[in-house]
Amino acid sequence: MERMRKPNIDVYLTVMVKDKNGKVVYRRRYKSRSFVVGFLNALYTNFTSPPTAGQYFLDPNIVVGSGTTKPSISDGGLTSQIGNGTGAGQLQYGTDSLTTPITNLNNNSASFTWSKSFTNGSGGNVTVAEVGAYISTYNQGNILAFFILHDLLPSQITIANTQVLTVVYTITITT
Amino acid sequence: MNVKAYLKVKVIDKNGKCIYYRRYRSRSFVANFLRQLFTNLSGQSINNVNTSGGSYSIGTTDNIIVNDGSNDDSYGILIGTGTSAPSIINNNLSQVISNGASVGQMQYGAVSVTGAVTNTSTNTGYITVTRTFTNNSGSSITVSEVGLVAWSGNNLQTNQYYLIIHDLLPSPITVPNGSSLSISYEIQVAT
Repeated sequence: MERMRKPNIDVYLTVMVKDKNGKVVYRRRYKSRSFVVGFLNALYTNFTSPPTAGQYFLDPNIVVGSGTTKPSISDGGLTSQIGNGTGAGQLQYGTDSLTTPITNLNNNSASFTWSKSFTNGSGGNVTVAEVGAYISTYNQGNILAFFILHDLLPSQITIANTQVLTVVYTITITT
Repeated sequence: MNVKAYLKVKVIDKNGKCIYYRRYRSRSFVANFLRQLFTNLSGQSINNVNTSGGSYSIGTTDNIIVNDGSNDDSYGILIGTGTSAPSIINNNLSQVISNGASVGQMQYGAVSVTGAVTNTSTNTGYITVTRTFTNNSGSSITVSEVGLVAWSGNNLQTNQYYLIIHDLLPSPITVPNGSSLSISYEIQVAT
């Protein structure tokens, strides 16, 4: 009988910077290490949803920050989130985008990507040191946000004015 | 480290004595779970496969409910006698042991789900999904596979049952008549 091998759900984090001409000037791919307890709380909410209440996930939201504190299981947000805008130290947040899952029968895996771009229109450099993500659950008109991922980048990234940072989370399951 | 699941199996005899206990690392979330997550988060409906093998379009407001009541084998933790290796596209256990007290059946208890337990020293957290199965069939029953089936809910769109985890046990478990089998999935994150 086949022995159970390691699972399960893995997340990879890709960060990429493009200059104003669309040229990629920086790209790194890491194995994300940091689901936090908010993911479990969101899953618990869904697992135990009364059928008449309709609690489901929605509103994916990738965020970036300048904090350098090591992530903790109980984190409820980034250490220092970079605000949306064109003021000093801000980045313009794009829209979260997800790609349709791909299933690979050869290696018994499936994955989808979740990405967002951040444009620096601040007039100066902006340094990104941490990345995270929220999802929400809906419950009869009430929307509750859960912070589910928090990663400290191994190396901080300096985004020059007019450059665009793209953050991609690839969520993979393996059977 | 990311999301891991552990599978705990325990057999209690008719006198309440634990006669078997193992804890394994579960390995087998299947594609249905990822597709459901995708549709909820993206708002784009794609197709899933229900436990009957039928394709359906996932509703953007579908749930992932697992806390089934007792005496029902349509969702929650299910057990079976199949021995096929799990595949990413599995839509059900290979051979489900149905609810009941007839030959080859087990009586399904209610599913319980505990909220997140966190340990800030180890930076870990987990939730647990548990169900107990009682053998009153009159003879021993061998269990070789376990799965977790979710329900989309019935108030909104699809009213479907779909498999999200499927595990083949490293060793089949024989549950004597009068004994009960407790199965727990511990879903863990580590930061």
